[in-house]
Amino acid sequence: MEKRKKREKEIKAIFKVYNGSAVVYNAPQSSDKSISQICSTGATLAKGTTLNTLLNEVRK
Amino acid sequence: MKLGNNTFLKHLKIDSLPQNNVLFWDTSLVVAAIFNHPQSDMRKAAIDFIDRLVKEKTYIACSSVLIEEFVQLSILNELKKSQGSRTQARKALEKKDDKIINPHLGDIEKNIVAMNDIFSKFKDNLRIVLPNESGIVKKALELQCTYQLERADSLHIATMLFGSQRDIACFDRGDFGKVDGLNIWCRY
Repeated sequence: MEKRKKREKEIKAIFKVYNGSAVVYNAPQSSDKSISQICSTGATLAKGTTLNTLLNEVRK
Repeated sequence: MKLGNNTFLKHLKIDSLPQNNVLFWDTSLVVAAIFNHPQSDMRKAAIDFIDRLVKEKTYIACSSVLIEEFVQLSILNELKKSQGSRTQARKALEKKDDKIINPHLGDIEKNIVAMNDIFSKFKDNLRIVLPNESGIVKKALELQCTYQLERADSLHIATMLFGSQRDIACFDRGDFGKVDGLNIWCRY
């Protein structure tokens, strides 16, 4: 518990530099699915597309 | 590929997570976990890594640029499925043709829900940083000039460096690897 509190204090210090522009993500509730289950609900890449080509298409 | 002088390529499974620090995320981690083909090694590694971060209660952070990029990727990826090419997908988007776009709304929504569900697993341990600090913008422009980075990449890295952080989870070794002094979490 002490270790956790110490960590939280250190993290708060890190985010001080952002002057309030670092916000805690406020989810209505934590999903009860596993990460694997969550990811399987998403769609797969379009045919002939790789992760890098898709990223490049949006970034350039 | 030229890598920055002090760049360490961290192994998602083996290396110790940043202690008393924050791990930043690039969009490629979330996209790899949600979009990549189920049999892909990268997808499995991304899912296992995110699972590890949740279990170890790691503090994570990302720029709000990640959300914008993810939404855009999701829309383009879905439109490409019916339109066949990036050019056609972009045209459909520019035309705002509801006959083309509407059939994809359900799948686009599923992707956004998946991203939000991943974020929700981190509860208070996740910070989303708006890149509205002048120091972030200045740093981003410096990075663009020094390393010829694209806008989004430079904002991800500048946001992290502005908070004196060095660890970033990202599968884009080519661009992120150009920058000196980053710990890039990408090996799997």
